Amino acid sequence: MGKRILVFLKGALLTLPLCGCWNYRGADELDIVVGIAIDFDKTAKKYKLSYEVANLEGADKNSIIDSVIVESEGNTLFDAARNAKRREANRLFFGSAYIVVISQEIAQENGIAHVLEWFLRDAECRETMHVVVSQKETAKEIIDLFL
Amino acid sequence: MIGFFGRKKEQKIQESLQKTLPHEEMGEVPESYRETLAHLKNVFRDDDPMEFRELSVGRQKPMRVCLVFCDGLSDASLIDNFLIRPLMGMDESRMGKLTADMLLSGVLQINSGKKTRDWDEIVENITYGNTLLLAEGIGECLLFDTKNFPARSVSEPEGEKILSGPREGFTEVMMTNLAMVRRKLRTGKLKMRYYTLGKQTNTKLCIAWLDGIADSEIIRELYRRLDSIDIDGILDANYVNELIRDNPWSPFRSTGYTERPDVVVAKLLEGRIAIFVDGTPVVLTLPYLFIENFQSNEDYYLNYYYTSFARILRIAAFFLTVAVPGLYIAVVGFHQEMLPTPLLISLAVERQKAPLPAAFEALVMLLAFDILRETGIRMPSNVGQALSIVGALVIGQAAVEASLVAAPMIIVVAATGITSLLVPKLNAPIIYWRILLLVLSSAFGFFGLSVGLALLLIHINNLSSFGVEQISLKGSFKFQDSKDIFIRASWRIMRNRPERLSRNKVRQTGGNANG
Repeated sequence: MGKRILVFLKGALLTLPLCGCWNYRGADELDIVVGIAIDFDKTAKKYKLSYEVANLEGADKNSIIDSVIVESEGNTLFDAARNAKRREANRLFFGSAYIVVISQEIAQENGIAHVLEWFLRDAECRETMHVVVSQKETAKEIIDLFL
Repeated sequence: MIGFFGRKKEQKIQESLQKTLPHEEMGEVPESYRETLAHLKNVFRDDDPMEFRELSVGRQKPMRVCLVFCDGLSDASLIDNFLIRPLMGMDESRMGKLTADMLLSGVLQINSGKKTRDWDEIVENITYGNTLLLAEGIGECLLFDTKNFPARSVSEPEGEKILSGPREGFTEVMMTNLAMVRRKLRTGKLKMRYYTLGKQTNTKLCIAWLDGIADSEIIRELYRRLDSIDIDGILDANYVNELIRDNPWSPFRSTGYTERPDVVVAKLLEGRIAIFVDGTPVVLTLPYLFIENFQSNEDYYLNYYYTSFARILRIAAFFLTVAVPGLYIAVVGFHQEMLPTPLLISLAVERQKAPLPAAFEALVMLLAFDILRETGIRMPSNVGQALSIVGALVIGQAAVEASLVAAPMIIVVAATGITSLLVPKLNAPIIYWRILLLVLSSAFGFFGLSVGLALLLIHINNLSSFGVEQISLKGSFKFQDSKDIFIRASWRIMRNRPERLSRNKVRQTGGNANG
């Protein structure tokens, strides 16, 4: 009997690293990102990401949920996304993002493939997101429109 | 001083205990009337309801006779009219050479009587309401069936109410129960054997089966297990169940139980064995298959389209009630990707106001529900309204409005609670497995949940009942057996008995259908 339990535990422990998600983060500790805008700052050579985040502060079920813009920058897209953690107390959650706005500049100069690649490889982002290219000066302006 | 009296009292008890020993050692009744009576009086000393009615029969050479019976258990008019009256009116010429057989066949006018010389049998019979007759000059003791004790009348079992079908239920008197089964199963193949269990209670059991249909190997195994029981008292069928079951530490059942004669007859017809226990309306049936947890006698009395659906609901309810709290915790704590955005946002809004972590909240609310349910069972029925107000308003609405508990948790607890009521036979394993899955998934998310469910399936797969696997996940798929598992097929096509239970598999031989 003891041996059988041991075998079961071994199997369970072996499969543990195969499952992707193990850190507990409550639904209330998330900043739910609904839209992402990607700009490139040529002078600083940095990506500037703007996230539209659902603002749950003081919201209840009868009010309309509004949103706030959170910004971060970094040398790469991943770097920028990581840097957002420094500004926000909560972790950004990309699972509910439904739009990615890419600035005209990036699209024209580097193409959108490398941007999409990052989103496709990320664990949280859905492939059902809308991808649009901004015709304004920056992509952030589009996100701002929703506010 | 107290110590002195205490010791004295103890000594007295010891002395009186020693007095009982001769009877237990003797085993056999002595020849002499006087000795037997004295001994019997010693056995039943300090026992006022025990009646020793001493008579003197005949005028010239009076013969002494004594009737021993228990007041309140025996039918007084039966003893008066059919034992005492014929004795007193006996022809005096016959008295000199009277034998036990002559008394039985020619004098006493009572339907059942037998000779015995066994002390245990005598004591057992008198305490059961039978009457013992001792007569001078007759070496043997005579026992007569004069049982007449108060009994509840036949009524519908509270715990097994149904919409349609036979409504009678068993009572506490085993003979009535046996009669109810016999009336439904009028065949000589129905075998019923008595068995006595319990060193002090001497409880009567009856093991019933259908000859040629039940597996004799299982009957033999049952007797082997019954023989190994060594207990002082049996007050309910569950005593027997726990002492003879397979997997004694498993929370899952290993024998079926019912208070309905129609269920017992149906189980007997499927090749099962029934154990009746005197003093309780509950009858055990075995072997037990896991699917019986989800079967109900009503499945067979109502339209099979409807009952097949109901059975699928019950099976789903088992998995829901076990897994829903864990599933909720895993989704809220680990796998928010599972949720559509609007649901996630409204959930996050609710969760933000709740002070407790989700897993702890779930644990508290599940406990609250179990407390409510247990109270509902234990309390007197006229305070039921107070409970439902407390349950619905305080636990539900008020807790959410006071932001003690997130609203989705109420839904989860309600779903868990309602579905658990659908499978009452599994309430013991459900409680523990639910908590186990909750703890595992609050630590490991879906991974923990699936490990817990795997454990559950492994455990269920290991269950057996009298050597019969309760669930068969390996081997070949038996189409005939599947007709009464997830669905209840029409009686037209259920031609065979369950494969693993009975010797004689064919239930319907005729070609009355084309299935």
